[in-house]
Amino acid sequence: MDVTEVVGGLLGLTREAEMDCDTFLELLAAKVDGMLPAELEALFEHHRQICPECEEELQALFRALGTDVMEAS
Amino acid sequence: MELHAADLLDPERREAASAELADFLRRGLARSFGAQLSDADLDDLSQRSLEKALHALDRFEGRSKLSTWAMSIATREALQVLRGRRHQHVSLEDAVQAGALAMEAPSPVERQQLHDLLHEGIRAALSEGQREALYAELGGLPLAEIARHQGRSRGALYKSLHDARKKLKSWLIERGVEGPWM
Repeated sequence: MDVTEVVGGLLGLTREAEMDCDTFLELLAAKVDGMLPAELEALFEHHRQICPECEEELQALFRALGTDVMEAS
Repeated sequence: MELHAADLLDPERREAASAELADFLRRGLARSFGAQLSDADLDDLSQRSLEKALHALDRFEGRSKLSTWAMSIATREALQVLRGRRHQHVSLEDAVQAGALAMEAPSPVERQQLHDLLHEGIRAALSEGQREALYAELGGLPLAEIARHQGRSRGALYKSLHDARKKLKSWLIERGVEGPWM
């Protein structure tokens, strides 16, 4: 693993305002049900890109419900 | 599955609704995780998740379907178990050391300058706690495990690391390093 690439990649994705994991996890079910408020969409999608563990949670929920997997935008 | 909070709160319907929900959770966990979870795991996780959902029912705000919300509790429980198993022999100290060593190791020539600056910036700009968390993450521990070791929520850890990234980025920009970063 080249840590420069990893850290550099994280820095490239870093924004001033980001959604944290606790908030993301609270909104997981709403996202899957298509009920995520529009104003949270961009923050939610950004967090999917930067946090592989939270993305894993989302994919696990999609699979559990038998819903088609949606890739991060 | 159509399920309403009233079904779980009504004494006459609660038992049947709970059993139906536990079964729904079990099927979902089996579908999501396949062979990673044994039958005993599925039984245990579906019951534990049902209990957590019932306990938290008063905090369900209707921002999703109740069944989806309950399933999100179940998948989280399952991932917690699986992550714990994968990293049970990895201490926080081991992960921090692995991450610090990874920062010490040379980078490909074309990235060595950025590497050296990142190394310096991590030491100069970040708090000790932020350095520890970042090194642990680079050392391969998931945030959930780092947070568990440190006795705080994943969200609190994420905020600390977000602050660290912003500080590191500012420190680099002040020294003339700008994007694209990678």
